[in-house]
Amino acid sequence: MNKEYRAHPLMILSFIRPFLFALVIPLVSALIRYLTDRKPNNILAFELLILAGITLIGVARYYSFKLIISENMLTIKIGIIFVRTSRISLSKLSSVQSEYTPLDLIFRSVTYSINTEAGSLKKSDFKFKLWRKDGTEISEYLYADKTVSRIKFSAIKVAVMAAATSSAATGMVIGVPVIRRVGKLLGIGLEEMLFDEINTVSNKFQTYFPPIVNTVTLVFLLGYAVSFVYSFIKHVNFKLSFGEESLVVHSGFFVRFKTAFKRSRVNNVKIEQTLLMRLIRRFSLKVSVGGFDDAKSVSQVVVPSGKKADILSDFGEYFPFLVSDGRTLHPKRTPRIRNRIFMWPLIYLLINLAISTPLILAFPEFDRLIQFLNLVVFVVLLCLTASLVYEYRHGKLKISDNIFAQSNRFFGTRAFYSPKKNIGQIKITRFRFDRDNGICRVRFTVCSENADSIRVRFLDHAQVTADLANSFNLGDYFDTHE
Amino acid sequence: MKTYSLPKRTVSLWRLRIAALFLFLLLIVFFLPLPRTAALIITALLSVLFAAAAFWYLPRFIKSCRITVVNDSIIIKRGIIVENTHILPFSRLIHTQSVQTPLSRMFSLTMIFFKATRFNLIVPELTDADAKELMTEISAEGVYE
Repeated sequence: MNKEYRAHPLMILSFIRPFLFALVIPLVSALIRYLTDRKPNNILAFELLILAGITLIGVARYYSFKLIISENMLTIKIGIIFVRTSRISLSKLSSVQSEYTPLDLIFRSVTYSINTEAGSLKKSDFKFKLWRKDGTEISEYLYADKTVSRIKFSAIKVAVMAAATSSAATGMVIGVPVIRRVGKLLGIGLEEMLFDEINTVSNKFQTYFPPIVNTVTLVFLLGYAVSFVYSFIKHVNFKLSFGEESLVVHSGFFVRFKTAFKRSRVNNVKIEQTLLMRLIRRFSLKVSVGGFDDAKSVSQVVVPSGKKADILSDFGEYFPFLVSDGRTLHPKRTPRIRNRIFMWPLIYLLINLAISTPLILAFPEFDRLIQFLNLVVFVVLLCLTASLVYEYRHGKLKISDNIFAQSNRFFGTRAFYSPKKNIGQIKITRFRFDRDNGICRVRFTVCSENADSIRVRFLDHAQVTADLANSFNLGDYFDTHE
Repeated sequence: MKTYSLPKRTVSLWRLRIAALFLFLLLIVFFLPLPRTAALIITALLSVLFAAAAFWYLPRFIKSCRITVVNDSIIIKRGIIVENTHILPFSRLIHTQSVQTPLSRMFSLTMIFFKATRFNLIVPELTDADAKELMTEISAEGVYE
């Protein structure tokens, strides 16, 4: 069976999109000048000529695009002068993703991404526009599976996840370029206007701290709000469809995503909890699939928010590596090791005090600002200490046919599950203190495009090496080389 | 189980490299418009760092490097202040690469890179014969099958 699919005409727009910003603005200004002066000018003619040329190339590339699906092979052909033909075995596909923007809904098109383990990181291997009916047909052929069950997550659960995982920094990364672009497009100083507005609002609040603190707090709150809204809109309408062999995730409001991947292509699973999620005792489940998604991370959220016990019972059967046998290794609990946890936060605190005290004495007019900064550092150090205490009390490692590790990650926590065969590198690190106390830290890195990793500290070195030798067939290496 | 260690020649090679870097930094200090005292202090500091790196750290670090081929994995152990043990299962190894620079060729030494999907493990210069044997042994273990 050989079936051939052509691209949707909207793909011409995708081809010329990179040149649009550079072309459209001068073209519009040239057109306005033509309309006001009523005289043809050279710039307008030149711009029109370039636009026509680029559009022509786009049209030719659109006509050259072919997607051929045979029994077990997928072929993608594109190009006029430089013809590129890619042949991918269907068994090597990691995932396919369909994306529906409002424009796609009007024109009955779909943005289709095909991903493999190869290709550049955080970028889809192939991305093109198809007719919606063709996209559905291809997805059905590639991921033909009987849907066993379907779960829909409420907007509240998605909001909880968005609130707990959003950060002011992410909001700024998303928001600032948008504001800058809109400002440029409209030809106004939008950034300055916004900053003036923030200044005016923050000056209305009378607090112990100077006005700059209010301004910075307001900027951070706005950044957090932008990040929350973005995350919520991206994940709302979250639905999961379980097939016998594949998993399909639907999400999005304005732009709708549908991601399908085979269960066998999942490299590892992570159950994560951010600092805010710890307060409400909820977790999120993410799976890492090789070579997929062009977002910041190549892991797909499968459960936005839920109880850990529920997640494990719901998915234990579906991902068998969530269940691991073997003995559980915990951090070695001795007073010396426990006291070491507090060493670095204490050192940071002393450094902070050593810097801030002379600063307050030297610049008394800035004392309130320095006090505020001290307060921020103190809160961050408290969070760091809480995270380290979690690692000491709840850090775990199981080494058998499946690897299970639990530890902290920045200020959050992470439980990591992976089949042994997917582990790419194991790193055992020992500092002088570790060697004196017979402990070590172990890092497992998954051999995939995403290369997820987890580190567990303060583990008994003898126990770790014995379990590693058994599980990874290392013989008596550790007996002879230690 | 076979263990490879680095030859003493590797220490000499790295001493030469560090000396070249030291001279380069000294030249920068020499040409920078610094006060005489500051230049002297920086030169003294650089000299102490160079001596510590070349005559204390380097020989111990090179001596601590052990590359062992065990059943289905390669284990690389190294480090003095921080001791690291890397275990790389053969099944996850994509390819190995040997690199010779003009300087390392003069010493008959070869550096080896073990490449997995998203990370590399670097083995500092082994003797040419050891490097060849290690790469042959890994191929024989069926890494590329």
